[in-house]
Amino acid sequence: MTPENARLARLRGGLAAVEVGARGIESVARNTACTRLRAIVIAGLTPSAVIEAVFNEDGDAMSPFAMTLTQAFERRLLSNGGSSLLTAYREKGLLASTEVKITSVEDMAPGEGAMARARRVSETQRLLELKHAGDPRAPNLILSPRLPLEIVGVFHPVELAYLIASDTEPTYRVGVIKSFADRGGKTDKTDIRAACREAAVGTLALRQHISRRGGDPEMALDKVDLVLRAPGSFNPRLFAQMRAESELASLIRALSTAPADLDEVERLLPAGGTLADPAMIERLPNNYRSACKEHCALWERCRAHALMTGQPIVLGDLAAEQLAAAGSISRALDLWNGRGRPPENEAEATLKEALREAGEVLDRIANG
Amino acid sequence: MECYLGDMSRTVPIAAQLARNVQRQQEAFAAMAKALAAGDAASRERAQAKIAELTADYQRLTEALRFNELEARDIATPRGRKPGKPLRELALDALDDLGVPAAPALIADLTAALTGDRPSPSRFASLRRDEENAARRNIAARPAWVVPAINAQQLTAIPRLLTSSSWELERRIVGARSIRTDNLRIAISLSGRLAQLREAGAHEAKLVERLLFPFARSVPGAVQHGQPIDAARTIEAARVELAPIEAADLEERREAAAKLAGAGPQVRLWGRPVLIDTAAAERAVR
Repeated sequence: MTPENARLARLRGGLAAVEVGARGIESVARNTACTRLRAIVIAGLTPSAVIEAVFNEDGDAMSPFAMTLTQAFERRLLSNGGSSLLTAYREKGLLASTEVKITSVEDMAPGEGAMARARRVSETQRLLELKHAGDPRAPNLILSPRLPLEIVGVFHPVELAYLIASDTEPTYRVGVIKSFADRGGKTDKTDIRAACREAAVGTLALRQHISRRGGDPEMALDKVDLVLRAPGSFNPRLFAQMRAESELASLIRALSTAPADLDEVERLLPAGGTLADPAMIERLPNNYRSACKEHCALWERCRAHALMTGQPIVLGDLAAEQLAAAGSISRALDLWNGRGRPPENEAEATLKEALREAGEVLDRIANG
Repeated sequence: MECYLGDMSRTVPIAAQLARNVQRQQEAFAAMAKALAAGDAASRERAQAKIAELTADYQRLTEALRFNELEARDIATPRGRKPGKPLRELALDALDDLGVPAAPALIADLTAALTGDRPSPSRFASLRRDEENAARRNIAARPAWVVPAINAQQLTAIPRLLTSSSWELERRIVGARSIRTDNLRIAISLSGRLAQLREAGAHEAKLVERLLFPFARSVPGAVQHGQPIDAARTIEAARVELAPIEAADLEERREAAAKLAGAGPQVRLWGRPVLIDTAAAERAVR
């Protein structure tokens, strides 16, 4: 075991490491101010694993309907040698009729054993090497590739949907498959951004691979491909070469602080304190946001803590923003009712006036 | 399948191929004797290489002949499809129908379409391991084994794609373009089967059509939206699609087959052992 791995193992305190995956790593960038989430992910755990192993509660389970839909859509695209995916690229004119070189990494080493996983990594790296060496046998589509992403000296494997490149492109782009329906302008932007950030995790892993081999990491562009489902059917809708500049930047920012985060976590915990202890998890500062429930299984605990300490965020993002000057719900109520200390600064005075006006509006609406 | 078999399989009987091989070996040994007498080192090297190549080919052909004889003795008639057949028999039947390496799910679906009995695809992993273990004990125990396809670049097994050991080596190899060419061949093969079943008015035609649909849909011009699959049209479209990539695919497979030809029977059937980068695995989170 490498020293870095030993350090993380000590922090986990006997809990077995789990595969965080692209989605888990992406979640760190969604809430960069949450030390608790960053500590858990960097240590090689997930909030769901912590809920199950540390708090002995049920983890975050995906709805069976959503899971079935996701699996069926992915299977539809990736089965039969990715023929549906290939067709989508051919129809968009992104691959020529002779660019039909496809490799499924999962076919090479199926299963969840350590050997199979290690082989999937080495096979993916071998295929990348072919491409970067200009070998004409390099695939145009690599299905289910597995790449290591290095965070604080430890490899976190990331399993992606696919990598794509035409024969003329110097390296691959990462593609993600999402089973939510493409509703044009009405598709939830948060979902699209999350999908792009998930693909950006793959791009980052690809850049690290190129860099380790002495190449220019910028060769892997900040563009990703996204496949959504056409409404009411299982037909794919391809959105190729989407710019993921900001998603990649937010991810790089979030992960670049990982070594410092690890030092901070070790400082925050008392000697011998580990993430296997519920009290130590509670001790790590969190940053509850209303969107946490979308990606973090610990959201209920963090919300309970926010409620207990009267944080305005429990009233929603808008209220949190507007009541920021007060800092807590009880202080905001004091300002509204004219109790407690008088406004301590201009921001509090402005908030007090806004709350008074809002109270009058509410009174008029409620009492006529 | 005809276009595939036309290119990929020899039409010359194995016994005749063996006779030709023996003749060539005699010529190679004669050349060796001549080179030794003349003290010509270059000619001797060439003759040695030729002898090694022909010996490997001889070994392959004698095994193929033995398998054929065993098959002829044990299974005099084509394998009938009936419920209760062992999984390996069902797999070999389906593979013979498809004619190309196939994933367990496809084998199970084809078996279900033609027999109404769908084996669980998850059983194929243990079948593959059982077959390998049994063959290690006695490779001649069965006329054909369910074996994995072999990767053309590394010559290692692709466990998720199954083939029959009775196929020629180049047919069991998967190159860079093979997934696509094999899919097109499956489309051609299933279209042919669909046409036969429709002609006979068999109810299985619907099931085969459903199985064919994802393959046909990926071939430009093979299917018309909202229309039943036209088998002849699909075959034609798949052949057009196959034409520009078939030669390159075949060349890559043949090159890989040549590299494997000199290996032992276990390696020829189950591929080279896989090497894992333990240094990288050491750095993985655990």
